[in-house]
Amino acid sequence: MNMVNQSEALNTLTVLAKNYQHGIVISGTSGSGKTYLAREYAKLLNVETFYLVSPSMSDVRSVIDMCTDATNDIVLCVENLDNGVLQVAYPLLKFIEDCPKNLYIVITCFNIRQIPDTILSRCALVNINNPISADLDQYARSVNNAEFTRLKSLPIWQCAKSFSDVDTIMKLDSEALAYFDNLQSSLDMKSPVSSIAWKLQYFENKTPTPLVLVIRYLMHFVVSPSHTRSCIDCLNALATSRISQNAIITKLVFDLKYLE
Amino acid sequence: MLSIQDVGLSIMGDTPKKLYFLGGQEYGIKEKYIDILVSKVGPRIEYSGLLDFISFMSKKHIIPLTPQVYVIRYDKLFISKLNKELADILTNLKIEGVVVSIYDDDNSINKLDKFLPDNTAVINNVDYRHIAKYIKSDFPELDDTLIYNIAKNSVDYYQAKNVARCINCVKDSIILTESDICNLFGLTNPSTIEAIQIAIADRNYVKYIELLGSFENDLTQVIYLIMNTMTEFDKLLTNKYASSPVKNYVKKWTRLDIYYMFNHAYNALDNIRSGSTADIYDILIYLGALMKFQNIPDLEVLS
Repeated sequence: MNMVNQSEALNTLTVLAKNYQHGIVISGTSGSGKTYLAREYAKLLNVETFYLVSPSMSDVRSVIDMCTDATNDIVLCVENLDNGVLQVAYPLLKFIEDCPKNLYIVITCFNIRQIPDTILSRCALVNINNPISADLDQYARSVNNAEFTRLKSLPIWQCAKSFSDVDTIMKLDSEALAYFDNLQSSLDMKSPVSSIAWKLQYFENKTPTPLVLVIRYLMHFVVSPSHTRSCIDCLNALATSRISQNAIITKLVFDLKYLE
Repeated sequence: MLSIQDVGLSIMGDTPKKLYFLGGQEYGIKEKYIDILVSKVGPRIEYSGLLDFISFMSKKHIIPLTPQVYVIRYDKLFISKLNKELADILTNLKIEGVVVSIYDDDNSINKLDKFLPDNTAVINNVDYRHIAKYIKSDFPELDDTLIYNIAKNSVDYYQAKNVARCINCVKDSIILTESDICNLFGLTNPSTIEAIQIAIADRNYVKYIELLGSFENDLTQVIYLIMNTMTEFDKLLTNKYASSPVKNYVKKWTRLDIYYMFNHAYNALDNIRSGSTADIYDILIYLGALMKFQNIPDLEVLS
């Protein structure tokens, strides 16, 4: 697939692959296709062994041990390093500094400012743009064209901003779609904050809702600028995951209910 | 089926039964009863199965057997073979000593209760006052209040006895409060958390600060507690019949007070998590000080 948002990044990776670059940092928003590009890099290098690692100390250490003993070419992708603890960066840094010839390390992250300078200075940086709607449509068509045709006309489709959003929407069953249809009417601001917050976080069968999509959907209905700002603050807080999800949603509902 | 009181009385009495089937999850009490029987009857012997035991006891012995406590654990084979006939054999068996057969699953106990109801008991969830009594008999030198706190905060007698045993070894050099006991068990003292919530709801700054000084757990819990209290107030404003621990204090808070206080607490939590504020204790004092305002100021006014 030739995605508009990924084309520039893919061109950069092609050049880097020709130079056999051993350390790369790919930054971009959630669901923009960072891991997909890491896999593409492995293809460009003609390397078959591709390991995906979460940014936890135990995983990184065990994969590093495994790669040290390996003799074949390996592409190691550390996913969303800025989601893990800072200490994970240190064994990685040591490894990047003295990288074996058969190993290529690709680090993905949401926010490049969260990555230590010592790692950035030893890696090539690749930025990936947010997908445009044509990219999302193309991706959805490739996943399930019939489902895409059915969902395209629904308001929920306008809330998709990333490839992972598309995946989530395409997996929604009829009950979940009905939840979105009834969301505005079911939110009674005369109810207690805790009850509204619960409704936003859980479907009727008590399974969690795709919260980011729910908040984006909610933004379609809010009219006051202060409410829109609260929704945006909520989405930012959910992206950074500093505070518990329940506290973030309760804050949003407090804003929606108490702010005129 | 025997009750725990029946079993206790018969074991501690002068003539214990020859056969006990003890079920339930309270391993500590079962062990205690076995210890009592050992002190009354004779040495303890672990036996593999009841069927083997029946055949052993049925044989004639040249040297007469001495009374002993035979402990048999989780003998599923016996349960599978158990019927009226086997139950009669066991009941009429001449046992030199006492047999204690231990189980922990409900199915085995149900079957035993059907065929041997006079010998079967389930020991579960013993009241903490009984646990305190047992601990007192195990460690008579420990202070009564300390024993009460240990029993109240423990999961079962087994855990309580282990903690009491440890404390008994060092009791001369330490003084333990209930809060210390809670820490030993990895629990937060519920009374402190409830008291802090009431102090927040009552806008009682002095009490709040006093309690904060004695709060020994993660202080961010207090910020969550403030946010939770404001959510409770919102619930009470929406429905005056709703039940809540802070119901009596709702009149001290206006709608805007609730909203602004929640915002302050949320903002404080965000600052702590983002690392822009280092001292959480200072933040909590600041949040407490806000309660002294007649009308809690907006976050933007203060910033």
